[in-house]
Amino acid sequence: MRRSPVPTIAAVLAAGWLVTEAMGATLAAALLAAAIPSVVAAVALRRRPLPRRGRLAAFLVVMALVVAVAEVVIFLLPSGSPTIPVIQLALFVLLAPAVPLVYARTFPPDDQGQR
Amino acid sequence: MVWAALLLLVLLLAVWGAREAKDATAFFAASRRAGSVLAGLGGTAAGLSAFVFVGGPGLFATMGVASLWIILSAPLTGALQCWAVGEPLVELTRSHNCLTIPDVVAARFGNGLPRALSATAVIAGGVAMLAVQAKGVGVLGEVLVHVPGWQAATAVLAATALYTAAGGMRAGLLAEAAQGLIMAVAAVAISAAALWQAGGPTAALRTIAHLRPELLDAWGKPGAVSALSLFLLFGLGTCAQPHYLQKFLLLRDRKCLRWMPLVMTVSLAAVLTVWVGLGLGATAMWADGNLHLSSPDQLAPAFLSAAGGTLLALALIAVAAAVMSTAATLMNLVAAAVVRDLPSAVGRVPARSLWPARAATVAVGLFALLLAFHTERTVGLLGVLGWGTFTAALLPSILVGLNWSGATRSGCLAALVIGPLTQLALELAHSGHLMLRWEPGLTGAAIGTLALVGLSVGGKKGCPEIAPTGAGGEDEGLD
Repeated sequence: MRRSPVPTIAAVLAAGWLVTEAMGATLAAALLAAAIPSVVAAVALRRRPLPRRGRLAAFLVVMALVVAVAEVVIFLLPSGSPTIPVIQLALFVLLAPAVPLVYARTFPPDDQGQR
Repeated sequence: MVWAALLLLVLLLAVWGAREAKDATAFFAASRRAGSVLAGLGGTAAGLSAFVFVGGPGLFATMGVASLWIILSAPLTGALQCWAVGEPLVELTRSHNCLTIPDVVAARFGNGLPRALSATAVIAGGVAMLAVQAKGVGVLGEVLVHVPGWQAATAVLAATALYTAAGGMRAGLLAEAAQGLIMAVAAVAISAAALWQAGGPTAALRTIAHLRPELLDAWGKPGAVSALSLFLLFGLGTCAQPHYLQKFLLLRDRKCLRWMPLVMTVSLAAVLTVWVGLGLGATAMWADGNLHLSSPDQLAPAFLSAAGGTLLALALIAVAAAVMSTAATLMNLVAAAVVRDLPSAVGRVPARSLWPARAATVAVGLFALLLAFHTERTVGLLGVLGWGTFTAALLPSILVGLNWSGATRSGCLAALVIGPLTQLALELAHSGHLMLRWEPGLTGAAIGTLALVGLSVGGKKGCPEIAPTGAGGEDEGLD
């Protein structure tokens, strides 16, 4: 039987976050803020018997989650730039319908429920 | 006139609810008849309190765009909840007839301590959140309509208790869906008015950039790690909030999950426009000297008082809707924990009659009211519990436990104890200005997750994938 990756992933991400908080490391926090929701979604998607098209949609979902948190690039902008809230809100407006629509697109029919 | 009409609606809802709620499934799980729209709107309404209308804009005036990290996860949370916990919850609910979140924990990890500890977390966090709702209504009542705070809080909680005690979630869910719609419409209208009065979003941003540039710092004074902690706490934390998760137990079938994230996310985004629109517009007016405040917290009340007329009335109705929807779900959850989950945890069969649940609903509302207005310090401490407590206590067992069949009972118990204790210790340290870098709820959840994984991997092998404990379901008898 294949071993579940969930405990390893959960432990690594939890420990990673604690170390990040202890060190106050901005870059690590930014990476984990991007990684944690994406990994949670990706792990949940493993339950689905997805066809090829579904896998592509799932990949897009994960990328959407990454992009959502990729707004951490904001820290590359000069502090106080009025561009910051504009980028944040643009991503918000773009992703608010996109992520749920991809969820609906990858939703398995009744006869292909969860594994 | 408006308030009389609302009172009449509440009375009609209570009468209808009392006739419809005839068994525990109707009272605690709205007869499992909810579709995507009802459950999605209800989830958003229950999840958002008056804080969004008043505290959020005030936070924008204090922290600027750094406060947006709290709401930036909103586009993800609906889908994330359904993927990570909604789908397993619906499966478990079908197979074990679960009516409450402690039922789910018991179905997965066995009856006894797992059910008792998760019920305790629901009671502690739920009462804390209810007390804060009562306090919030009191403050708003004094500022916006100039009535004593305790009177405003009593009126709103009594109205909520009336239909919740009579009809449970059967009446509560219907009210929440309507309240969610009201909140969304009011939020968009208030935001548009605030931005229009500030000369539009571009002009508002220009004003802030010129007069208060520090408010455009992406991370704010606490720094990047704290800002990103908020993003994660409110993004992942939704997977552990009982008032959100409860909506998955009310769905009529698995297919309803398909469009639920869209309903949740669109309604959530609509309500959150008030945080950004009122925050940005009114802060620009304040910076420009067109709005006078004694403190940034007064931003929303000051703007709404100045606007007066229809906008003020709309805001009052929206705030009342926000408080009532959150309070109704919390009263139902805490009442279920008291009359169903705790007795079941010690092997007793819960009463078949709904009267103990009805009495508990009223008692919970009354207790929260007394706590809010008679024990200032306790409320201060309990106020910081709530979202963080639910995250620290339940996130490991729900998120990891429902997605990993190897998670064991001892791992779950460790997470349910260590997570909230860590959170409480850090909250106490924060009140003494110590260890400020550590976000209490998230740190508690991380340590709880490590405990759950460590004890499960290192513990006894061969734990059943889903413990067949007969959790929930009075129709088939309890345990």
